[in-house]
Order: sequence, then C-alpha cells, then structure tokens
Amino acid sequence: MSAEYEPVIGLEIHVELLTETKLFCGCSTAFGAEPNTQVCSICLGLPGHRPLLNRKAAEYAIRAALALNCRVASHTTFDRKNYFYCDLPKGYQISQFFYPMGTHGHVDIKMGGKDRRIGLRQIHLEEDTGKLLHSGSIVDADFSRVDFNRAGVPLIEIVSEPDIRSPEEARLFLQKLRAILLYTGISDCKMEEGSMRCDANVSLRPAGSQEFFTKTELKNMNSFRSVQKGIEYEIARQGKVLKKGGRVMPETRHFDETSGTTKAMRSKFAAADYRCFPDPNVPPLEVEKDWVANIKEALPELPAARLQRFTDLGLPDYDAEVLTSNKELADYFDAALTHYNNPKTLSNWLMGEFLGLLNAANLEVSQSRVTPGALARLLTLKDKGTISGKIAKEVFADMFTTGKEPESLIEEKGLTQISDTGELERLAGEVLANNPGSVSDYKSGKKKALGFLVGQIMKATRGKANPQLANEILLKKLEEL
Amino acid sequence: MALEKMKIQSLKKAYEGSYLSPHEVRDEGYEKGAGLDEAYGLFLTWLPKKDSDRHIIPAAAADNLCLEGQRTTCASRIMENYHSPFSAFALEKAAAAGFEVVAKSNLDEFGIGDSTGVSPFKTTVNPWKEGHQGGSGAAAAVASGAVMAAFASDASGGLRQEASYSGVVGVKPTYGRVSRRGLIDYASSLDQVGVLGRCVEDAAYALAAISGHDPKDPTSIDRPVDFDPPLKKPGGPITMACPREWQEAKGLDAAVAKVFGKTLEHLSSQGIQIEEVSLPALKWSSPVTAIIASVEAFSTLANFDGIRFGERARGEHLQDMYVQTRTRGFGPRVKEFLTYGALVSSGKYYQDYFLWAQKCRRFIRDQVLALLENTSFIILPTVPFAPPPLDEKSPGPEPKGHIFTSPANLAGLPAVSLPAGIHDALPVGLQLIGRPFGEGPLLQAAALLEDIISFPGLALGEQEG
Repeated sequence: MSAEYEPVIGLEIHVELLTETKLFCGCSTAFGAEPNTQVCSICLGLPGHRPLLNRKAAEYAIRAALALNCRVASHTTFDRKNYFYCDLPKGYQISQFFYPMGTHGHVDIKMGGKDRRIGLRQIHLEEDTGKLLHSGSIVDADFSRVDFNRAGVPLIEIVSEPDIRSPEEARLFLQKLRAILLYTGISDCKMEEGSMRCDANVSLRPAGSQEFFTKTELKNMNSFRSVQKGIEYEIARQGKVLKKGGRVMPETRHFDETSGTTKAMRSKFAAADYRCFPDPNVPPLEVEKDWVANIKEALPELPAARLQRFTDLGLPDYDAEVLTSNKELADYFDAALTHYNNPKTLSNWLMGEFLGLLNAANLEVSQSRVTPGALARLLTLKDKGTISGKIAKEVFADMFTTGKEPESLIEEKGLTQISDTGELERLAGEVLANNPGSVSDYKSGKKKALGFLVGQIMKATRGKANPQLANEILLKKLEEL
Repeated sequence: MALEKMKIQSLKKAYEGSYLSPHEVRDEGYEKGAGLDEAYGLFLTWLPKKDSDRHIIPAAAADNLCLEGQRTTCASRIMENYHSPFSAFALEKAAAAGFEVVAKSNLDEFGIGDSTGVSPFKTTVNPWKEGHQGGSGAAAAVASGAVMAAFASDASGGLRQEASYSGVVGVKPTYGRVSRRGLIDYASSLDQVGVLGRCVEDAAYALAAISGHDPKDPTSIDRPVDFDPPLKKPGGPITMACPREWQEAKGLDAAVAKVFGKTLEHLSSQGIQIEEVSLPALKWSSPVTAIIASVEAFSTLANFDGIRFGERARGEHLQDMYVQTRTRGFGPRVKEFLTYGALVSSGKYYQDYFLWAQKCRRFIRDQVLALLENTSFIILPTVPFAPPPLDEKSPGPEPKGHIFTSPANLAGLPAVSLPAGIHDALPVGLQLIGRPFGEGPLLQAAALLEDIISFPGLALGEQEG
C-alpha cells in the first residue's frame, strides 16, 4: 500500500454475556438448544408484555467497563432503537443510546515493540436479535426461518476509537481485549460460537492528516485472522480506488472467507432513522457508587496487574507475557507456586514441557491431567536430586498421559536418581576398567573423554545416576590414576 | 329487583342475604346482555359462561386487555384471531376480587382516537340516544346495565371521554397505581388501566380491585390501596381550582359550556369552593400529548408484522410482506396516527417536534402540579362536546376531545369523569383531577359531587340503598 495514505480503523465488537438468563426476561441463554424453545412472551415481543431488567447483566457491563478503564455512568436509561427486521421481535432493540454504561476507556497493546493505546469510545448493554436461517442464500432463498432463542440475550457492544492503524494492530487489539474480558468472567468470547463478533470500519487518509474520510463497514469476519485479512484486503482495495482518482463509497461490505475479499452488500432497507428514545417500560437505572465499588473490588486480578506481579517475582517480561496471555495458564502458575518456590523453573516448565504437550494433544489447560500440585511436587523432587532433570521430563510426560502422581511413577519404574556415593564409586570403577581407551585419552589431555565416561555410567544405570556426582567421582578417580 | 338497578353494594348484600345467587346473576347477565349487545353493539367476544358459586360481579373488559387463552383483538383486523398466552395482571386481580369478565368489549382500534366506539368489527351506539356515538362498548355496557363495571385503558383521555358520552363514571388512576402487564397499550408513558362504573362507589370497588404492585411490571408502584368502599365523607370543605382557559378551548360546544357553567354554580351553592385559576399550559396539552403518544405508538405497534403472531399477508419479499400486512391489517385512523408519529420523530423533526414535546411535557406537568399544591382538585369539563352523531368523521391525528383530559396523562395524575348534566338527551361529563396517588380524596370528592348533582343514571334510575 502506498505510503501516502494511512489506514484509519475502528472496531465494533459485540460480546455475549454469560448470564443465566436474558436481558429482560427469565429465559435461558444456554447455547445449542432446539430452535424456539428458550422463548417467552417478553423476548418474543408479544402484545402486552413488560420487560424486566436483569441486574446481573448490568453488573457484567460495569465489570467490563471497569476492566477496560472506562468511566462508569452514574445514571443510565435503556433506549429503543427502532427499525424493522424479522429477527427483531419488537420492531425495536432495547439498547443504550443516551448514557452508555462505560465511556472514555482504553486498551494498551504492544505493536512492534512499541506501546500503543487504543481508545474505547463506549461500552453499552443491548439485547441480541434472533437468528435467521435461509433455505438458500440470503438473496434467493425460497423461505427463511427465525430462531428466537438468541433474541434478548444480553450483549455488550464495545466501540473503539478509530485509533487502529494496521490490520495486525487490529488483531493484537482483539486478542488483548479478549484476554481482558476472559479475566472478568463475563463472557467466553468464542468467535466460532458467535459469543464474540467483530465489525470493522475502515478508511484511508493522507498520511499525517487529522481529518476523517469516507469509511466502509466490514461485516462477516468470523475469526481474528479474518478480521485481519478483511481489513488488509479493504485497505488495498480502497488504495486502488483512490489511486485511480475515484471516491470510496460509504457502504457496508461483506467479507468472503474463501476468497479473502470484501463485496458490497445489497442494502435490505433504506438507511434507518432509529428514532431512539428512552423505553418508557424500563425505568432508568441509578448506578450507585457503592455498587460500582463492590464490583470493582470483586474483579479478579486483571492481566496488566498480574503481569506486573509476575515480573516482580523475577520473571523476565517474555515469560510474564506468555503466562498472563492465557488466564487459565496464569491461574495454573499461581496454584503451582503455592507449593513450589522457584518461579523461573516453573515458568520454564510451563512454557516448555507443559504447553508443548498440551498443544500436541490439542488440549486446553483446564483439560490437563497434571494438577498444579503434582507438577510442583515433581519439580521439588528434581530440585532435591531425587530424580535428574532428564528423568523428570520423562516422568512428566507419563503424568500427562496417565494422570498418575509423580511419586507413584518414580517408584513404579524405579527411577529414583542414584546419588549413593558408594554405588557410584563402584560403577565408576567398572566403567573405568571397561574403557581403558577413554582413560588414556583423558590422561593424554582429551578432557571430553570424561563426558563419554559419565555417559557410560548413565547408560549403565539407564539415566538414573546423578550426573553431577558421577562426574565428580569419575574425575577424582581419574586424577588418582 | 332488577340487576341494572343495583349498585355493587346492593348486589353484595343480596348475595349475603341469599336473595340472589351467582347463577341467577350470571344467567340474567348473559341473557339480557345478549339483547343489549344486539341493540348497542357492545361486545366483540363473549367469554364461555362459568359455573362457580363465587359472589360474582359481572364485568366487561376492553378488548385491548389480555385474557389467557381468549381472543384479544384490540378491535383490529391485524389481531382478528389472536389468542393471548397470558392474562393482564389487572384482570387477574379483578377476578380475585370477584369481578367476572363476561365479555371483551368494543373500542376504537387499539384505543387510538376520539373514542368514537367505531371499529372494523362493530359500531357502538349510545344507549341514551340512537344515532350517536357511545364512546366504547365498555362504557355503553355499563350505562345500559349489561354489566356492573368495566375495565378499559386511558392514554390521553379515551376512558373518561367514553364515560362522559355514556353518562357513567370513569376513573384513570395515578400512573403506576395499576399494572400495565397484559394491557396492549400504544403509549407506554401515558397509558393506564382504569375503570367504568354506574356510580362513584362502584368505580371505587373496581379500581381498588385492580390496584396494587406488580413485581413483573417495573413501572408499577408499591402503594397501599386506601380507597376501598365504603368511601368516607371528605373531612373538611372541598376546594377546587377551575382553570379559566377552559372557555377558550378549541371546539368547545356551547351546550357543554352551558351545562358545565351551571354545574359549577350549583356546586358552589352547595358549599364546594371553586376558585378560578389560570393554567396557560392547557392549550398545549393536547398537541403535545398527540406528538408523544403517536411516536410511542409508532414504536410500540412495530411488533405487529405478522411474523410471530397475528394476521400475515403474502408479500414478494420481506419488506413487501411487512407493507401488505400492516396496510391491510391496520385501519385508517391507526395508520394516520402511526404515520404522524413516524413523521414527527424523523430527521430534523425529532428535535423540533418530539424532543420539544417531551420538554413541554415537563413544563405542563409542573404547572398542573403547582396548581394542586394550593387546592386538592382541578375541575374541568371532561370533553369539549357532547357525543357526536355516528356518521361524524373524526380525522386525526390529534384527537379533538382530549384537551381537558390529556394533562392528567402527561402528569400521571388520577382523574375521574362523572355525569354532570344532560343536553338534548345526551349526557355531559365533568372531570376532577387529583394529586399523585390521591385516589382516596379524589373519589370521596367525586362521591360528594355525585350526591349534589343527582344525575339520573340510565340504568340505575332511583338510587337503591
């Protein structure tokens, strides 16, 4: 892309909240039920219904606002956004237009080694729509069906400032946002299940300009990678248009996963005039300071704070970042650390052995058969010298597949490290007697021959000999010869 | 003694003394009611006759109040075959208090307009005089004696207007006094469920029955009901404020002016202190209400699209289906009102009309409340004109008859209409507006006025003790 233009990108993210019930009724929000089985007169918008605000959803929105560094509204209303579509039962969506729950927030990311702050314009609560299923494509299906199970599920919409400057930055932002939201526990943020959705607004402007130019809205990007790809394509496309001297049309474009391109969508209805006004059926919500303070106190330690704590423990930045990027992994680390006192060793093992085995088996941290306590005990045994480092790795692999305790595996397989000097002296004597060539090599100055001899002891003991002791004893004997 | 000559109090006594049985009451109600329905076009759906021994009070419910499993049409073709899966909370309470709804009554489609009593299904005729509007099936049913009480809605004055037309008592409670769950309203910030009765005491029975907190209606307020009959006599002398601007009201009938003026004199001569005051905001009340109500209606009635319930027309694609369904399903008055609402909230008009009206609302409310600080009640005519002839067109979008009633909706205040006099064989009503949650004093005062006025009810005739 030409250096004369810079991309201006803003993201709109919808996140489904993990409340038990919907935003205005008691219907379940559970994913995957038979169509139209989690519905009632309220979420179906039947005549005469009255909505009842789910206070837990409001609490979750406040949690998100706090975790994303927002100012929390002290007073808020629930406003009608009026438009017609068949997945919108009431003919209006109850959202927050006038007083969003959170404003003036931000997310900090590291882009190419530099610290970047992406502003958040607002976070607000709103209800989700139903789900449409077409008997063909949206353009030519004979009929369509609507499943209202999803109608009324609480969402928060997070609107970023147009601060993002590259597709990669967009992806990093989304990853960081997701990590933070997972920490708050308000959503499982699974793009593949639709509990996190992202639309992008993309425009180009002359490099150095502060103005905003015509933007297009990109939809249908179903993973972080798709978001990145979609934005990449769109930037290139707009660049070409501008280069030819054309104008970018303000339109909504649909990302096509297979071709990696964006296509202009046929408009369904003329641009809607939403006529937002506070819903007279939903009283305004006073967001008391005490309530917000309680929510803030109950917030789990967020990634930034945890990262700081990990580096304070002495971990290098890289380790701290890898561990905190996955809440479950960080929790695992903390849990193991209560039984073990070497953070760096633990970190190495988690980043190395543990993640290695998890990835190979395609498992999540929560699915690991090795408990934090068991790993802690294994490492303690290694540090004490009961087993060698190499044996510890083998035992760990076994623990991973069988879920057995380290102590039982070590005993079962007789893997206890041989540190008995008497035994080692005897073995050393045997090895020296059986390898006269290596002895004379060493005596004539080839110090590497010692390594070979240590290796022989290890071989004879099937790796159980304590390598440092074996080395010391052999060295002493060699000097005596 | 004929049922239509009884007050609710007398009926209760008759039950207790075993002079009447619920079965007799029910049978007579259904039989006579059928005849009256035929004559005056009262009901859209008769409910299946029940069989209980409960000491029932026969009642009607306007067809925009839901009853579980029953046809609820809102007097609209778009709801012609709709059966509600749940009941209005107010009707559940009414049933618990002994009011048995025997029929769903006719109303203007969705309750929108000047209470002409004309809907796509039926035309309600005024029981007082042929060829004239009865206001609604509910009001005419109470007036003619078909039922003893009725439950209906009031968004800008419709219920009180019906009461005035049919010469009965109509009460709109304070906003939040009665649950709106199960009321198919069109203007949620203005609408309330109210009652109609042959006399103030009957209306009080009915209102007390439906009042009370509903935890499933977040706009419902928790306040104790302190106006169960028997109504106490007012403690001291009653003072009322009469805004002089009523005389300049648009469309004020000379006949209404005469009846109202004479009534004021009569009341004053009997010890009611009526002070002339000024309420300049009165002239803005009706247009402001029409703007707010029509915008809320355009939004609230958006769920009538044929997708999940109601009548659905065929269309070539989704938008066409919407257009066909709503064009055919809604009547002209409703379409006009919704279009008006869409217009005054669109683009720049949103600021100039809708937002402006919302601010005016606060201003009008404050003026009315200021008046009520110094006096307990505001007294006004209910409607500027007598019941019009049936064929008189009532073009909108703003109703013509809600000039005096709409302030009570804007301010959320309780208000009662009671018959004040007769002109040319048709009833003319007067209205009292009270303080927030002041239904008790309001009904007491209304009962006192009723005594003084001694209006000869169509059904009640001589007052039975």
